Amino acid sequence: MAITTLGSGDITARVEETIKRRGADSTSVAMVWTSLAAAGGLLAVVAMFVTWYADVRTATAWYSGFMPPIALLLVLAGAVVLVGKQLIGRGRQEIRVNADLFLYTIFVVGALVLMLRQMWKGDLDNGVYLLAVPLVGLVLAMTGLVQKAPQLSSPLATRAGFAVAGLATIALIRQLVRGDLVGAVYLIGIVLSIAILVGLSNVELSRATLELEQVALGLASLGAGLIIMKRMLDPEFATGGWAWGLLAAVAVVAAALAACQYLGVLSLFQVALFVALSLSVIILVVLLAQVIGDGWPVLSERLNDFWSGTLRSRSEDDQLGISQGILGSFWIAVFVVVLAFPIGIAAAVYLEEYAPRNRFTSILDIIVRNLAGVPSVVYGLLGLFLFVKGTAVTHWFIDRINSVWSSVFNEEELIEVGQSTLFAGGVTLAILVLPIVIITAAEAVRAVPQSLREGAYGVGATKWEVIKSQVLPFAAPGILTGTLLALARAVGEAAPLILVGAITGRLAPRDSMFGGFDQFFGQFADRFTAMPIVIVGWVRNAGVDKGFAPAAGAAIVMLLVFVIMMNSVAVLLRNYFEKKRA
Amino acid sequence: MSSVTSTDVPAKGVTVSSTDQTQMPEAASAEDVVFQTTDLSVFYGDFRAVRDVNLDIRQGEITALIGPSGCGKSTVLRSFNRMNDLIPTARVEGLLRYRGVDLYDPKVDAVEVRRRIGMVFQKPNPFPKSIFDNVAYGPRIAGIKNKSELSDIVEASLQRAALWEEVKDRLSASATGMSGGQQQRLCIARAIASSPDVLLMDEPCSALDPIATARIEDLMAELKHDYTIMIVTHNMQQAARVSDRTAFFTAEVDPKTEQRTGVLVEYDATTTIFSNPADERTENYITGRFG
Repeated sequence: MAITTLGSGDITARVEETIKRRGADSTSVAMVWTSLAAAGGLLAVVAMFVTWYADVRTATAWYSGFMPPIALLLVLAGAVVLVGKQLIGRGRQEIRVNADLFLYTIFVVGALVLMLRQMWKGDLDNGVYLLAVPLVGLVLAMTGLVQKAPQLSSPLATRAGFAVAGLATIALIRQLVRGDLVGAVYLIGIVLSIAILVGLSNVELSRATLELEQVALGLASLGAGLIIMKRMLDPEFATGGWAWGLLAAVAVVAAALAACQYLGVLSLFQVALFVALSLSVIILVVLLAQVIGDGWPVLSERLNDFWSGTLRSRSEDDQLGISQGILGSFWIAVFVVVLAFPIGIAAAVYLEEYAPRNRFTSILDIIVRNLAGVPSVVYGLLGLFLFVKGTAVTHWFIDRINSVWSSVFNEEELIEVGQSTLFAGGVTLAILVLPIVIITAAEAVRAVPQSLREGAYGVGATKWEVIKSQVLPFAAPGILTGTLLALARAVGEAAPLILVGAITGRLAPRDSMFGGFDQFFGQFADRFTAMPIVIVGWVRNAGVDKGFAPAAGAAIVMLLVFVIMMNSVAVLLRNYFEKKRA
Repeated sequence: MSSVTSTDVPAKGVTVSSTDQTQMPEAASAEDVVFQTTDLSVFYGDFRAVRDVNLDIRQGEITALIGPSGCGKSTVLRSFNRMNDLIPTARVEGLLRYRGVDLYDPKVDAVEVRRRIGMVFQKPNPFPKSIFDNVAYGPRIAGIKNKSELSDIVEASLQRAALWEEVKDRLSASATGMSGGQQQRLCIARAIASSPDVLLMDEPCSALDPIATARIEDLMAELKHDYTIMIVTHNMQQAARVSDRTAFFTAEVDPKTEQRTGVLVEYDATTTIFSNPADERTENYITGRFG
């Protein structure tokens, strides 16, 4: 078999070389893929939840069914193995490899159980979907196998990878035959992921691990995004079928090219990279053109009114606009900046500079990385339970805040429990991006050359002086880029805000936002909306009132401009700091 | 020295028992001895990198540490200003006295140690700041805020590092734009600016061309009047040219574990080491038959 001979020898040599180069740090390689596999498992769990919650038809099955608990147990067992492996298997290669195989088996069994359950119920569609989601976790686990024990499992993993890809392809053909484009795209995403991961495991390892993290992030959001889209793109909205077709074509081409690369055609790989790049740009341009085209009537005729207007129940209303959405998004950004940035950067500095390197911190590291891959819907659920419904602890805190508030202002309570407040939305999104901020800041801090630290220590600087005067300034460009991208993500999130109850309908405009102390703070305890929510609301209404479609298009353009501006600031700031440190 | 706290009082006339394989130089008076190590071993985790080093480093001299790669000379050097503290697994056994004070006494502040015992590294590592800020870094963290005082220190340090004439017109330029040799002299100026007692140099010329190397060597000859200097070097000619005393290290391989542990073979006046070494291993090394 040409493929395996090509792959295994190379990979073995590369893995050994990398581990030698990294020295004592070689466990981090294992840690990275372990976290990936765990993220995959988590993704499967979450996807199951979302699928069941969103589908009324199967909701009863969720409560009465006996299979989901079994599947959950299996995935949990996988997690236990992962953690146990970190604790027990340290330095014992063989135990780890066995545990990997065990984990691999668990994922396969989990997937099969889920699929069989749906088949048994006669629900073929969901059977395929449910098979597809745990497959992502499976692929991630296999990538780990390739990296950890190449001499043992590379052919196995490769073969299994192709088997999985084959399964997914069969399902894909089935969906295409049935004319279900959305489901097909879903499956193409999976085939593509497998191809990319198999390809990546062949790339130089140290770089591959980094990219794998990003791929894991991408996969997680891809999975969640596809599930949500499938729900939203019900027949009456499925007008953009051609866009799906284009996406599918891109995915197929990219997967084919990735396979070419895997077969060792390097120059073709370079071509593939270029083609992939241009295709993604084309998609972006097409999407942008469509959105601008949709929103053009609003953008060209009443842009000013649109800025200052508010949410309305009818699209013909002259007052229809996005001022409340912009304001909500602005305050969410403020929450993220005030809460997530300082906490995230401080946590990163602690993890990288102060924390001792032991099991506790490695587990902490894995947890943070996994949290970054958790779909945003889950954070929405968290926000719903913690800040909207309220636990005993949050009730206690809110009571304290309210008692201070009423004693100072002699008014009623500031925050009402059981209310969907701006406070709840902002804090939820701050928590959502916190792991991303921590990871990017930690990467930036880690990239600071040791010689710089030594130079400062060498003239008698204390640890904090070294961090303050050398580490943080040097890491500033990286930290800034990461944090501002996290901010852009928070501003663009819709799913968690839907769960914490942002308003999609009519929201009464406030008289004044800055009209005094209690006015200012009072708005945090009010109901709120945000740009993505405004868009979702209008797109939904467009089914009833066609006039909302251009408004939605215009709002998307506004949000894009907002996010692009933010990213431009990130680039400019990074360049400024990079120039400063050169 | 007031802030290096210790209950140890410098014991007058302390002599170090010499092991059978280590030739100790003639006993020095306590005032002249800057560092005195007694059976110093450095570990990384369970791995013993260097064992049983007994050295007396004297005031106003240049001491060179030579030996093949992996014999632990850099490790020894870095233990003299507690730079090894930055490696979590590193630890030291035995006694390392700096002017009578046990450097690894829990009461001793490592930061204060590094202020007194400056270090110049193998690769020039200027901070990505201006030339002025680089040199002023040490004084600033030591609490000097006065602008004119800082300028005086910077000028004096750059003068001493023989760099002033080259950079006096561009003190606010970035230090990373200088040549390698200039950067290394800047690092020396940066170390001097904290007015240390000792300068540790870890292969300071290995990244430099011969001309820049010659300048640094001249500089060391200048500086030894005010500072005690220890230098690790791979270049035996350099050790012979600049140093007053030379310590030769080599690595012993444990036949069972195949771990390499550094040992001090011989320590004597440089002229003796290079003309009439007492140990066969030293002779083999300096004549190029091994290492």
